[in-house]
Amino acid sequence: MATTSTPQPDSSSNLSITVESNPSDSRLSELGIQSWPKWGCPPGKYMLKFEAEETCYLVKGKVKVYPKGSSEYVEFGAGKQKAASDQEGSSKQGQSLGSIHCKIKKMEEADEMVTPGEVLGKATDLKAGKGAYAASHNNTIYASLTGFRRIQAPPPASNDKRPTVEVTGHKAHGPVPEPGSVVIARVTKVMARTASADIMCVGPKSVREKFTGIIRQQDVRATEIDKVDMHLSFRPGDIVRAVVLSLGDARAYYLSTAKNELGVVSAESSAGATMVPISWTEMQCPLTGQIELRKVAKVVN
Amino acid sequence: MENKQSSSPASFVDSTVVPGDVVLDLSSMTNQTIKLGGGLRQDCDAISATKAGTLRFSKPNKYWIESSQKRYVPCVEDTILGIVVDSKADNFLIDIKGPAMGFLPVLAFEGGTRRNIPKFEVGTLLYLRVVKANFGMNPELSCTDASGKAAEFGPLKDGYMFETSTGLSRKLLSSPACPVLEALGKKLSFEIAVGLNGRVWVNAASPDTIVVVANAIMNSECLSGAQQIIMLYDLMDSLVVVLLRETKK
Repeated sequence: MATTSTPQPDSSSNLSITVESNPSDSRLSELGIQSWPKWGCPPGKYMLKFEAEETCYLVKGKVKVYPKGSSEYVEFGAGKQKAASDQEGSSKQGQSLGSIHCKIKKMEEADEMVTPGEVLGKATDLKAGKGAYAASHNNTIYASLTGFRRIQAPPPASNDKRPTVEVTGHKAHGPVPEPGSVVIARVTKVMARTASADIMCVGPKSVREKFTGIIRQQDVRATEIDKVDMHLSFRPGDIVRAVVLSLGDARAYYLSTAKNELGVVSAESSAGATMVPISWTEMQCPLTGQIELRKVAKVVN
Repeated sequence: MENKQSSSPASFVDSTVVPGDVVLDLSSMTNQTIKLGGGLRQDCDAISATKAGTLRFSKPNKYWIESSQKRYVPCVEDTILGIVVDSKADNFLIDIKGPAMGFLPVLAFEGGTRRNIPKFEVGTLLYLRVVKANFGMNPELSCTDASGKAAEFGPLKDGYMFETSTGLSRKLLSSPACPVLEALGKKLSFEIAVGLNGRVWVNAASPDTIVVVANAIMNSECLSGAQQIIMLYDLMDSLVVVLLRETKK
């Protein structure tokens, strides 16, 4: 019933559409049809643009595909696969007769860019990895970050045979502070009951985007928390090591320095020299000998 | 050159210095603890000036630079006149002619509780005390003295407020009393509040008196004691004429 035809494009781009009709079940599972994202549309004319080779499996309906500028078309119905390869990325017109449901699979899957909210697959076929999550109400895996979709084979020793899909690779994916992680921050502003700090490193890695943290008066130290004077604990410009307490409010993370190894790691005196810690509350300037009060972190070697 | 080097540090005291002048050499003063006030900075062994003004010394060991400017730098335990700019949940925001707004906690009044928070309109003039003044933070103010009593702090009603330099405010508050104030007080009766941040408030029964007092104070900025008295007599002559005219009516 179906034929394979390859209309030659008039443009210089290499465009070819191949149709494979009535593929067998083994062929379908070889391709992993079940894990392809699904889309559908009512009857009408649609412009489609293909950047790379794409295979489409028509579940239901009939499609006529015209490469742009040409009057030849390829028609195929349900149960067919259409592989469209396209080097230059020209557009094609498709006319669907009856509503179609079609599953699209990209050949070079490693470079597919996804955005938050895009469907990545079904939870029955895939496991959600980094940057993806499974919605329980319809058992679908959605992307939660912007990046490239990658599929990793399941570890051979596990019972779960589903591959893991993850979204990685976008340049904004630096480390993100999580509750419980130790961060290094620079104090920006000291106020009566809080101090603001810009988080610079999470653990050993430096962050790529700006995160703000707040150290509240009650989180500066563990003892006598209502007698804390913020000005005698931090000054603007100090580098502090703190632990993230929680995600805080919309503006800033909540940080705490209420442990011996947390607090000011490095500070500059008013004369401009890096101060030397001499106790857990005092740092001394090497140039002038003046002692300034800070909440000093105990550096354990 | 030798002559200059043999000059002792005491010679800088009470003379005008500019930023960069090395006013004290610590290597020549051993076994002394000296206290440095505003405008002085330590660079290892040399104390240099960072403000232009007069170097002052007070026994036993305090040095500081005195200068008069329009802008006020908040200092702990100063009494100032502030103007309410805004009110937030915990504090009133007060303009004190300084680099940052002052915060007046709503409970910093005598007998102040959450139930009787005063309501100040924007623009109210207050007589306040500076509680905390750290570099980089907004200064904290209070309407009570250190023991918690009201002690004349709080809003100032009626009267007239004018601005002066910080040097003149300090002169007005010095003891023994400034010649202008003494002479004015002998002839007129008025009420006056001086803020160290360069604001002065005067109140009297009649507007004429207020104007004379204000003009007298503003004119006395650069005058010596004797000149001030002369200036005052000229001013008061015109006031006497006006008062006579009034009483004749």
